[in-house]
Amino acid sequence: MNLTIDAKSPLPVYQQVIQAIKLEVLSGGLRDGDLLPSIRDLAKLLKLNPNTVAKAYYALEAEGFSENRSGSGSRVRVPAGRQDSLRKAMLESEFKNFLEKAVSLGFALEDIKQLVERIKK
Amino acid sequence: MNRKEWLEVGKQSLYFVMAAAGMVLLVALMNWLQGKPLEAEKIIIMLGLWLLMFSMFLGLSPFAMDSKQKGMEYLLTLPYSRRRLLFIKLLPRLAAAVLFYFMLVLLYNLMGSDAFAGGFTAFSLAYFALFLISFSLSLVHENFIVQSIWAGVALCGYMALCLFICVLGFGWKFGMPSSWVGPRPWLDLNYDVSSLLTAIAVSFLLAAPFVISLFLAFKKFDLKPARAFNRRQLLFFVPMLLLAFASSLGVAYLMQKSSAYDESFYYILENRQLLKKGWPGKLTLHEENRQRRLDTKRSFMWDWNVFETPGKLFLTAYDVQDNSTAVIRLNLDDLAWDTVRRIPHNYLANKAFSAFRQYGQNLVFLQRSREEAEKAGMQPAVPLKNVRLELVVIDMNSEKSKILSYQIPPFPIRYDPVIFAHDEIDGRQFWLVGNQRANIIRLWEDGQAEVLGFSHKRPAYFGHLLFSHSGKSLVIHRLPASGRETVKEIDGEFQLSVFFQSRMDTGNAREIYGKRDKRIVRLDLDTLTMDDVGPERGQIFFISPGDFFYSEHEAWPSAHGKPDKWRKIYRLQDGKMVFLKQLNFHGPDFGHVWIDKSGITLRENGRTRLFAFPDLRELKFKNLN
Amino acid sequence: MNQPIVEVRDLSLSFSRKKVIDGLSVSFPKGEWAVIAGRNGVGKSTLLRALSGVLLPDAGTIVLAEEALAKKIGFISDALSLFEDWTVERAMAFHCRVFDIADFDDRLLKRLGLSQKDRIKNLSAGERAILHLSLVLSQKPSLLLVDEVMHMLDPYIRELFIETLIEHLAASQATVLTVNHTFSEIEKIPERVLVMDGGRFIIDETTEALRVKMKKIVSRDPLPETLPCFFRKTDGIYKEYYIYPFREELLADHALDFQDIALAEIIKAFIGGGYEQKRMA
Repeated sequence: MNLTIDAKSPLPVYQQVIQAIKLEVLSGGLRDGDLLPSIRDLAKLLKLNPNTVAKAYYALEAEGFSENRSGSGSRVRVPAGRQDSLRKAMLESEFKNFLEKAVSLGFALEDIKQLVERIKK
Repeated sequence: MNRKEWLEVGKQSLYFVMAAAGMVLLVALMNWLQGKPLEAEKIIIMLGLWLLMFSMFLGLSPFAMDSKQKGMEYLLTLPYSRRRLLFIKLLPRLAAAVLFYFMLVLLYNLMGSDAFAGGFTAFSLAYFALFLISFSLSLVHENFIVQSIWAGVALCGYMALCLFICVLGFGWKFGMPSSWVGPRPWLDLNYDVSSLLTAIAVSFLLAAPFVISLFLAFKKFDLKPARAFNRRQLLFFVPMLLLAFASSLGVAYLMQKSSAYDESFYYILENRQLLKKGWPGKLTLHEENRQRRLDTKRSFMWDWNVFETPGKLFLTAYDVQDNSTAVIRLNLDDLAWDTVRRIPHNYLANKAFSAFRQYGQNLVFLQRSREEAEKAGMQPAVPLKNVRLELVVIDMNSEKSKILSYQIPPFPIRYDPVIFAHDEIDGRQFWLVGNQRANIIRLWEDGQAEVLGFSHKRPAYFGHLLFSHSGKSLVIHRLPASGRETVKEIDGEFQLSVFFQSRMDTGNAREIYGKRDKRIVRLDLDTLTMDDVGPERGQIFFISPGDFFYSEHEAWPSAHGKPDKWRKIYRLQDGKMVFLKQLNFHGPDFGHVWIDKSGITLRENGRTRLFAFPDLRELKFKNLN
Repeated sequence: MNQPIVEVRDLSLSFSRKKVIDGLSVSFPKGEWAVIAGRNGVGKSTLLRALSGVLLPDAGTIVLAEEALAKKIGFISDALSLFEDWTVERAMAFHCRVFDIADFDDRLLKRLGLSQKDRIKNLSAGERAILHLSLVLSQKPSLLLVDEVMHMLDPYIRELFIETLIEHLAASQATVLTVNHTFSEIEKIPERVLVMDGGRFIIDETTEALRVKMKKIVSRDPLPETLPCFFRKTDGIYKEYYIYPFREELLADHALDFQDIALAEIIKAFIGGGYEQKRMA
């Protein structure tokens, strides 16, 4: 399990937690039915405020990515069909960041396409 | 947290007790090595001082350990209110102070003697005051030495204030100027209920501002800036102290005035007028329906001597301004007065009231010769070690003096020579001078001094007979033209109380009463036979010209602790005790009975009652009380 | 229950004749972790002492909720005050007796290998801090006040300290107020930041908001006048400008690189700005 939270980012920490967990799920680190770490453990591990972790977990549950069965803690749910759209959404956001960076470096769209071809090889 | 405090106090107390025990053992060891009996008084004083130091230490210590151990901040985070914290600190220390105090009291009582009496009371008050004052100064500074200096200074100031108010109180009570209050009222403190209560009230009233200011200021105790805290405490303290001072004065005034004790000296004249000598230097002559006042200025302090001649009184007084004794003549009709003779203090051979005697119409006393008295560096208190004496005789009719000079062997320290007799043989006058454990010396009017022998106890001259003590018996002598002749010797422990009578005319006496081996006995002066009269349970008085009276005490021998409640007065006549009167004293104040040649003064409850010899009827005077 | 755990109204406190806290008002809800920052000597420790009852206010009130009265306030001061000569055992027993604690959790002490017989004065700063933490947490406090102790701790104990705090916060709804100089390990934890200056709080915002509102520009050129610069460091070739408050619109007007910064730098900027203002005053 490898979750990193960026202390500088203006994105609220709990959002970052949600994103990180989603990424973990998508990459296969967390599978459907796996037990999520307790709020306490995750907070201790990442040096986060438990409230933040709690907020993230509630949001995950609201979005359907986990369910909290009494007693045994939260379990990961990979909603059917959502996986693909999620993957796509994540890729898109990553790509957007990449493009922004490229543009700020002064690259034109053509140069970027060429680069993609080169790397694919 | 209580446990912590009790443990701390317990540990400190243990050290204290061990040190005290060590000191006692040291003294005991030294005494044993020197072969002396255990000096209990010294030990009590030592322990008392050590206890005073401990009480100061207990008072200063509550935060010492905490602050030394850097736990003050932790202490303040504990869930106790500030007030509760102070109480938790105070209680074990107060308990220790009280416990050790009672242990000292126990020891003091076991010792048996009441050597310190009222002084112990004063010590007790100072002890608790020191504890409370130290406690209130426990946050004054971090350094213990500085704290104890402050405590010492505060205690001195406190004691000065208490003393000031108490002395004022004594002045109010006894109706005399405060500057004349001596140590006696302090020694009597235990029986003088009003003064005792006043002292206690004043002590606590003046100690309260210290403690209260600490409690009030502690509410805002900061950890570091001690000066701000001190200022705050001082701000609380000063107004409270002023208030306490004012109320102490009020309390002292009310208590002492309400139990005002009449320290005047009363003398019943032969014409049944009453002479009252009060402070300062005031004289009042009471008659049944009026009184006349004489104010001889504050500078005279009247003595007990009163000598009567027709229409005149001769009194002795102490002149405060120049330290001299004056013989003053007072006219009974118009109260005009004059100084007949002035005797500088260092001239007097005998400073006691027994210095002045009367025989016939003459007043007589002893003084040092001029060279002796004016020797450089001589203090009035130095005992008579010189051998030059002068006898001064004042004729009370003509008011003229005659001085006779003598050279006599020295008298022992503490027993000044006392004139106790005057007589004549073959037309030559002589006076007898003596004291206990001293020689009896006959001073002839021609200037010769003749040693008549030694007497272990005070001798007496009665009915032309000389009585001296050999150490185990009474020896009766006749005095011929020179020397003395033993006429009879009677074994036993005798006490003849006729040594100090101021009238020396006893030539016509037929009998003499005295004490022997705890019995009252009578010696017939013609047959020299001795008879038993009764058990000795009081004092015998001789009232000139030949009357003996006996005052029986409720408690005899009188113990310093328990004042009596009655006296029974008898006349001793022809070997019998004739009951005259019982005097009862009631009331909280110590009843005061004074018997002298003029009569009996009874003081109770602030009232004065007078009974005149020989029948002891009560005399009433207007405006006396 | 929306009642704050502690509410301060118009607090004023003087210390050494200096008015350290002047008309300060603030309230803290339950379960919040707030960090109090400011330059040295500005009065942070004084405020904590006032909240814990060690110092009493000259004026103003401190209202504590039911849960936070007396035994339920835990205070770890920077002095780490305890009775020096006592053993760990005695300190524990005393603390438990005074605060009515039935069971004392000594796992932390065991973790550091502290023996019951050790004397307080012989403990290192880190061991003392952990001991204090254990003592204070055993009270199960609803309000936890932690003064600047973390900078004294070695990295292992520091992490242990922080994790213990997190655990306590997860288990209870305690409010934690910390005074910090170092933020590296706790950057993501506090929800609220308060910066103290001139006897009161000049900044009182959530960390989220602050991360949005403060940006940094590093450039060789001087800064345009129109940009709100709270603090600047201009001694080197590359000058650092801290922009506060930052708005999205500024991006449009200026083609400058507004960098995101973490909590430590944000607070440093506020403190630096305070010093700057003091210099100019």
